[in-house]
Amino acid sequence: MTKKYEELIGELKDIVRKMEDSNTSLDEMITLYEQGMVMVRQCEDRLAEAEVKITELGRES
Amino acid sequence: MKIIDQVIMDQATLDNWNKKEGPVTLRVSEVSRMITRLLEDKALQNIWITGEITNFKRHSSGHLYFSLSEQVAGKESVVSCTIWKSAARYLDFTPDDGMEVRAYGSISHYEPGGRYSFQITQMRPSGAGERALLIEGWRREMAAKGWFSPERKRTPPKYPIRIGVVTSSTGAVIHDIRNVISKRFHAEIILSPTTVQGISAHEEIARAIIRVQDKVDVLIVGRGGGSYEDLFAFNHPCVVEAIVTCPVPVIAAIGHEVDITLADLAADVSASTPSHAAEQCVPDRESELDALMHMKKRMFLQLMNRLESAEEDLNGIRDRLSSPRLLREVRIRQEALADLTDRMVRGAQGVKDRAHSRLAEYRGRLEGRNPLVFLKRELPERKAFLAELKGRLSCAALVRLQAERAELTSLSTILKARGPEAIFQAGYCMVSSAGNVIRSCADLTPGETVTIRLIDGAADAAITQVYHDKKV
Repeated sequence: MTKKYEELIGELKDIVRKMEDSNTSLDEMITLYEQGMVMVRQCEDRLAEAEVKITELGRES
Repeated sequence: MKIIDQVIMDQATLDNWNKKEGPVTLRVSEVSRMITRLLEDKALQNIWITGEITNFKRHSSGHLYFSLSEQVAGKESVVSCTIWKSAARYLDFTPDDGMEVRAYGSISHYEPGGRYSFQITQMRPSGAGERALLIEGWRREMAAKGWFSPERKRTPPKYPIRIGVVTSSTGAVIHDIRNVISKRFHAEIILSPTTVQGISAHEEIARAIIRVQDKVDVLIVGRGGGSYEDLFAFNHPCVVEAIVTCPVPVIAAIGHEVDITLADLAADVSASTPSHAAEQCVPDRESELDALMHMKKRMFLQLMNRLESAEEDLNGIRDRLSSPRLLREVRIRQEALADLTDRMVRGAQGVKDRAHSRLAEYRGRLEGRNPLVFLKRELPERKAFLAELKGRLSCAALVRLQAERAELTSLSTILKARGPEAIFQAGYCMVSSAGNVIRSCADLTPGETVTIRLIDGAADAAITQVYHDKKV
């Protein structure tokens, strides 16, 4: 199950917040940066999906 | 045929008249003129009509165009009306949709347009329009139930995955929504089709809402612009209730910006148009990409800053580890140690001195109170005092003794001179009886034994005879 865009953005925000915390160690920071960049790419990919799917419900259901 | 008699026909038509069998063929202008004639019937001239104003429009020229409508047994009748600027000037109220009015005028046919209208010269309001009244009643009931209260407005999700749209499947609304959403964000649209106007539209709209509400994250209820009557279904309580009880947030986009239906008031968000609703429904792809770019930049800068500070820390530590610096540090600490030792020694000496002086002081105070020393110092003085006292005492005793002795001599002389010794010497004696001195013969009885005291002794004697010197 792929993550929702909203979840990705939420996690990305958490990563940025952790990176801005002065207590984060350098090693941790590098790991966070790598994770963050993966998420940014996933979000960008998600935004690139242009098609909009339309489903029409039957009137009697 | 009666009608045709009254119509002025073209010569060509007249020429062919009655020459042919079968249905008559007429020219447009002829029909048009016939209609004009018919509509100019007395029954339709200078009459009063009552009805509700709908579709009211004020043209920039100042003329007013609208309909007078009436609903009888669910069937709607409409008459188009015009008030020319010249007559509009004299209206003593501002006409608007929903007003119930009485209008005076004549039906007139506009041949170039093929339309007829009621040309009004006078018009008066006759109470609030029936529909407006109905809607106002509903509005009050719903407001009392709290359906419009701001506290129950929900915020639609920022990133909906499935968006429900309740509207006509053929109208421009779904088309506009699809266009806007596809430009902005990736999402799935689930259309729940419904008719949006007509007698039972309200029931169908409510059903369409209920049908889709559990499948989506947010719901758009939409309808394009239309007349006051066209939007009527969106005021109906059954539509409004479906919106209020919908488990997901509802965005209403009904009619144009100026049209406010009860559905708009009850929805969580009221958008001016369906496109606007779609914009409010999903975030904009461009701004999301900007935000991502911004976050990317922040992460990168943060990492760079951290790297820089790590490097600075490292340089600092390297600098602190250099040997001249270490030596300097050691020297500083040695000096500090020496200083500390000095201070300790000085401090100890001071404590010792103070203890000594205090000891001496105590000793002095103790000596001062020693009784032996005290006595040694006082003894000679006291001895002298005692000797002096003794001298003074013996001297006084001697003087006293002499004085006493002299007094004693003088007293004994007196005593000797005046005492019984001399009397006894002269021969007197003292008679006493039972210890009492006898001083009179009356105290003597013959036979009584008495004691006679002489100078050198005593003798007992018995009285034989008593002789009184005188008879008493």
